[in-house]
Amino acid sequence: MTGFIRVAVAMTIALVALHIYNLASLDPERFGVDATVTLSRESWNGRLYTASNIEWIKSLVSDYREHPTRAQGSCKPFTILWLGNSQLHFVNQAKVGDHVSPYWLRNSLDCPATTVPLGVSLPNANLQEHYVLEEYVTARVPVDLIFIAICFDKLRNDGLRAEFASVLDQPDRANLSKNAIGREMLLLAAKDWKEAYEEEENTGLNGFAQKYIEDRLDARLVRLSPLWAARSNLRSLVLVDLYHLRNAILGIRGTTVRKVIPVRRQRNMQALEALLNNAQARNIRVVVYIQPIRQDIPIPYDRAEYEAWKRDLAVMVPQHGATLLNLESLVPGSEWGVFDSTVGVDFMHFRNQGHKLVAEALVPYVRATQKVTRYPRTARKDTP
Amino acid sequence: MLFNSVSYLVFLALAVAGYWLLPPRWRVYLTLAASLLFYALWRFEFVLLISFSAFVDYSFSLKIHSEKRPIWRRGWLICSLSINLGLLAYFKYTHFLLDNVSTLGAMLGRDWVLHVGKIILPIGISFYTFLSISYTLDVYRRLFVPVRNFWTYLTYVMFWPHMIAGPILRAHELLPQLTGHGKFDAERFADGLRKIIFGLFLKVVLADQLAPFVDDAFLVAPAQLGALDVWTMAFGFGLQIYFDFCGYSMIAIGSARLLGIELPENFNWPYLATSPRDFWQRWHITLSSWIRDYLYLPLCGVPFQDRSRGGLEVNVVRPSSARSSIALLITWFLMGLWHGAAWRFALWGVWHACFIWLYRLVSPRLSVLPSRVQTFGGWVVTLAVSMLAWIPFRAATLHDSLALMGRVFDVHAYHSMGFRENFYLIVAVIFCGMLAIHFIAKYGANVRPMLLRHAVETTALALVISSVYIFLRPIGQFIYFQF
Repeated sequence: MTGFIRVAVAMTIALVALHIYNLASLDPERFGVDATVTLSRESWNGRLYTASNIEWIKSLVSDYREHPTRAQGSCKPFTILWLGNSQLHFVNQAKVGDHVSPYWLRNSLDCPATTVPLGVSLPNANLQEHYVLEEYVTARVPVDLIFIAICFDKLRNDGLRAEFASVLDQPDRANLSKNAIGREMLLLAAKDWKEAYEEEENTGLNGFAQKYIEDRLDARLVRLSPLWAARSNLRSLVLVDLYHLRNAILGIRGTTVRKVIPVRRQRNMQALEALLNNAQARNIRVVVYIQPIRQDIPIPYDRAEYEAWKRDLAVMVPQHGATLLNLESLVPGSEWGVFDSTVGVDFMHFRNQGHKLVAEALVPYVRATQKVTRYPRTARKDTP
Repeated sequence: MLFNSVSYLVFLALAVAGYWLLPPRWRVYLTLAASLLFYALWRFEFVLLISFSAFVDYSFSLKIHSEKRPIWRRGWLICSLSINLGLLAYFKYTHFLLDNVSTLGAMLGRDWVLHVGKIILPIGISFYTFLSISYTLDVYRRLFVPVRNFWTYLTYVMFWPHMIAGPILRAHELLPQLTGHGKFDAERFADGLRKIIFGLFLKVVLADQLAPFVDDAFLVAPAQLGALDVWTMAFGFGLQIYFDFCGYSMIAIGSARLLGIELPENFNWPYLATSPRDFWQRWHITLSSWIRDYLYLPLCGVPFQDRSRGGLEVNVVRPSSARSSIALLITWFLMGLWHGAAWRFALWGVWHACFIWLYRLVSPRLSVLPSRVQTFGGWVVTLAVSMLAWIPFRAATLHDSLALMGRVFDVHAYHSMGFRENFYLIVAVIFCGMLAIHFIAKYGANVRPMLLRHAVETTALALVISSVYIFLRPIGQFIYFQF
């Protein structure tokens, strides 16, 4: 009987422990982001023009597609697609009146009502995602200029996050499939998207008559037991705790030097090249800028790899008729924020003044492009 | 039905409760009904197919038993084997054969492309075929008197804990337990529960969480990978398949134990093996034992054994003889193809055959080394070779398998690493954790005082239960279901 008792005791301990563990909750939108940074969504006359997740991006694009900006007097419509990552949508230690770069850019121009910088950014976006977003937006909205914020660290990221499955219609996929990197991305993404779908469904049972019963049992348990319903939160908590445990044991901090992963670097650079090719073919001017990075602390990159990457960019970007700007030292150390003490110093998100500086650095390129833009403008003909 | 699901746990609870509440003589029928339902919850139509096939085997084995004339006995045996192997060949190897015919045609400049449409592989057909063959052969060898009751026979082949992916049992090991009137034993019951919990842990917490990393890795083109990447992939998949299949076997054994039925262990820390022979006494033991008795030893011309334990623990009289070597190659080639209808599986089998053959050749000369050196060296080499063997098992094609294995033997490929650090880290941590658990389990039994030991064991069990509760989801089937 002792075996029985031990199993029963273990089950009781497990249930109590799970209840206690579940008291914590996790906001996936803010994972890895300190409380000192604030998301800033910008609008003009109540109309949003920045978006930092796929759903918002879709709704933004749909809005500007259905209700294009109209000329106002001598001000002609002019649209900038601004691709970036969390640096573009977070303000560190934000105060009232603080904004992100697209806002400051728009407000520095002569025709802010008709010049729309569509700030399209995803946290930790890699260049493959930039490429897909460029395809997606330019197919639906007439774009005159593209800014691409690139960050060396994001070369370590790979593939398209699962939410992209809802972004790509058949014509988008067909466009991506026209080149090798696009095909490779779609192939890898199909599997990732399937996994994300499996997160939600009992898809191991696809093709099984058992699935019908499992789905209903699962739904019944979710209704009956809050602890069962909280399993998704519990899974996230476990994975986040493992992440922190790994960092604590190995001493990994935000400033720890991370090596580039050759395969991923190659795929991301190929995606950037494909993006530049597309823009060139469509006669859209592109400004690629190396994102500002905090300079008053050692940067978490392998110096040799970083310099080699910048050299590669300096060769590749002009070859496609685009402009390369190096803004890495643009924002002084005082304009960067602090970060969670468990992670270390924030070298990615700056304060309001940093956003202003970036906008100022880019304004001349907008003005120069506006001078040469011909009207009328249309979105690409393959728009779904 | 998948074990790693809530519906299975409900099914199991109902089946076990009914089993112990019913009078003993009815239990076998309840077991049969539950087994049919278990299989029907995948696809009902295949229950009919397997029942028909079982009826044929049942009838033929009675004929074999009652027939006195050797030639007729052999005739009935051949009929039975042909039907079993014919079904297996049709469902599992038709596309493989046609693909090879068309490839051959293309090489000869002929258009030999044939289409047969989609063939759904009945889950567990390979295991089911082995059960049927061993039953008929045992009757033919006069090791076993066939059962007279068809429903009892059907219960033996369809017994749900082992029907889909083993453990593969001989009829004389399982039938007496199914028809016997076992008494409820609380300790054995609790042990069964623990087995199921640990089995689920291996599957849903370890195998299913490792799977995305391994799957992603095998999508990368071999040319983009370094040698350390391939080693990590091999170890990653080696661990995944071990946890997946060992987890499955533990749930199967635990489920049967709840009914008071003992199934043999299928795994015994295979990655601690110190020689290929040792490995095959620890990995998929019941399959190795089946292969030993029904294929390898008969091919060697050596008397077979008659039990599903022990794995390939055989001492062939003259292991270096040509006959033994050819038997070894044929056995492993077929073992590979049994796992999957593709040449890369055959490569997996031949790889193991070559390693075993080399070991036989070299091991007498190694006896001069100190035993610790032999053990440690044997462990390292066996581990490396058996892990590397998983590459063709998991890669998409034979071409990819050879390219990946080629990276390991390219000295220059050791300079680059193609994955995020987490993949290397996770594989290393899980592997070291597995070794640590083994040593804790081995030496922890001696810990005194007992109260401390029980407290640690109960806490560990609570941790395992919590993890299973959090991660239990049928997001992936068991790898061996596809075989």
